[in-house]
Amino acid sequence: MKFDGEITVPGRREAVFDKVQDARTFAWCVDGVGDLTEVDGAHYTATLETKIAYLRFRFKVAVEVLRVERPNLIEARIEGTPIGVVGRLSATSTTTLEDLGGETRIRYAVEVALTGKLGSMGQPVLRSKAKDMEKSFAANLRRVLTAPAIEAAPTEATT
Amino acid sequence: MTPFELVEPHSLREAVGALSADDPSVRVVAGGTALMLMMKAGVFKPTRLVSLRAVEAKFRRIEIDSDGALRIGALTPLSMLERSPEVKSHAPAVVHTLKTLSNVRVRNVATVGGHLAHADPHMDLPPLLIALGARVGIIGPSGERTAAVEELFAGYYETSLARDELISELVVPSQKGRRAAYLKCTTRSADDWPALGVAVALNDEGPAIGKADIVISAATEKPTRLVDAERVLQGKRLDEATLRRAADAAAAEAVTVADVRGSAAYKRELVRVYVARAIRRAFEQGVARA
Repeated sequence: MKFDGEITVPGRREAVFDKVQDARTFAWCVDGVGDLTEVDGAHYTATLETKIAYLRFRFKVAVEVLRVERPNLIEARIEGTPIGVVGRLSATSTTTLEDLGGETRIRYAVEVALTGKLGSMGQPVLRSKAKDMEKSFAANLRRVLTAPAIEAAPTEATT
Repeated sequence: MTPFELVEPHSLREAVGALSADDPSVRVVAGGTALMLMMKAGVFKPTRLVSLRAVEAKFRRIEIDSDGALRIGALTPLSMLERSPEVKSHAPAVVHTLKTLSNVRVRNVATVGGHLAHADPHMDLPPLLIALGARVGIIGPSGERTAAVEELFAGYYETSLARDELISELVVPSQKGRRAAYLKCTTRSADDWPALGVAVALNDEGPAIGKADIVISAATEKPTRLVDAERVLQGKRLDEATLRRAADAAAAEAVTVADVRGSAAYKRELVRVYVARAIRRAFEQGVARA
């Protein structure tokens, strides 16, 4: 299952790249991410929680940053274990940044594989949430880029 | 399992009172076939379940009203519809659809109201009920209202019902002079969740097709009416060229989504093939007499 899309945010590409590359900032921008822990400069663990209708999906995720080419590209691998549901989430993401002169276009492509019961139950749910998550990510990133400091990481997922 | 409160009201009005407008962890349970799976999977942890098991028997009945409409209580088990002579004569496509809806154990327990309120787009009856122009009665803290089944579905597992509203009945208007069919494509066993469901209902206007209703599900995020395909059929005689144009229009307008049962592109082709088959199947059905 592949998700891709693009968002355009204000700011020079280098500045936007630094924000996106910063794990704490990135995690703050994604709704439902909590308990971010830096293992080392390229490995992180976190929890991800997403709600749809009355259902709540929670994952423990491990993120490995595979490639960083400042200010153009970030590649990462995500491995997730759902909490309560049998299955596994594996994803690779590629994020590229393009300078538009005062604005930056962020293109992302995420290839996700869901296995086990999570696959039949979670795949369409995840897809239906993807656009909402993209919208909130863009809004949060715009806030980050225009705010002087980043607020504390959210603890509660939003729908 | 996390402990939760279980309440068993004796009326729907009382059940509404036990629900919460603000708390998504308070849910109603009727047959429980879907909700229990969610609880077992650990994606729903209720604080309170409002069981409808002890609610009045009048919500478990099937009647024909003076307008020839089928009135079905929300707590009627699906198997009761399957065996009902009233449903067979007024909406035979519903009986046909139920034959391969899950399995008999589920149909004996699952209720009409629960089937609709669960809002999983893979459900078989919603697209057919939309094509038949069905409505639901809804009861809430401020009284009763009705809504078209078509307006009920807001997205994956999401309905337009408020958290403290319940479906009280399903009303299928008279289908006199109409032909209807539901076809589904399953990629595993015949009673599996479908990769695509297609419902078609047609009005006869002399030798031509009058009003046409075409609704698909399972391949989409919610049951979806295919208006371009409907327009192709309206006022036309059914021939191969019309059928092909309707199928192409359906495939062009359907926004399909991928899941474990197939890619979006595969499902788009299924739409093209199955819409044509369902139209043909509906046309082959006798016109409903009641």
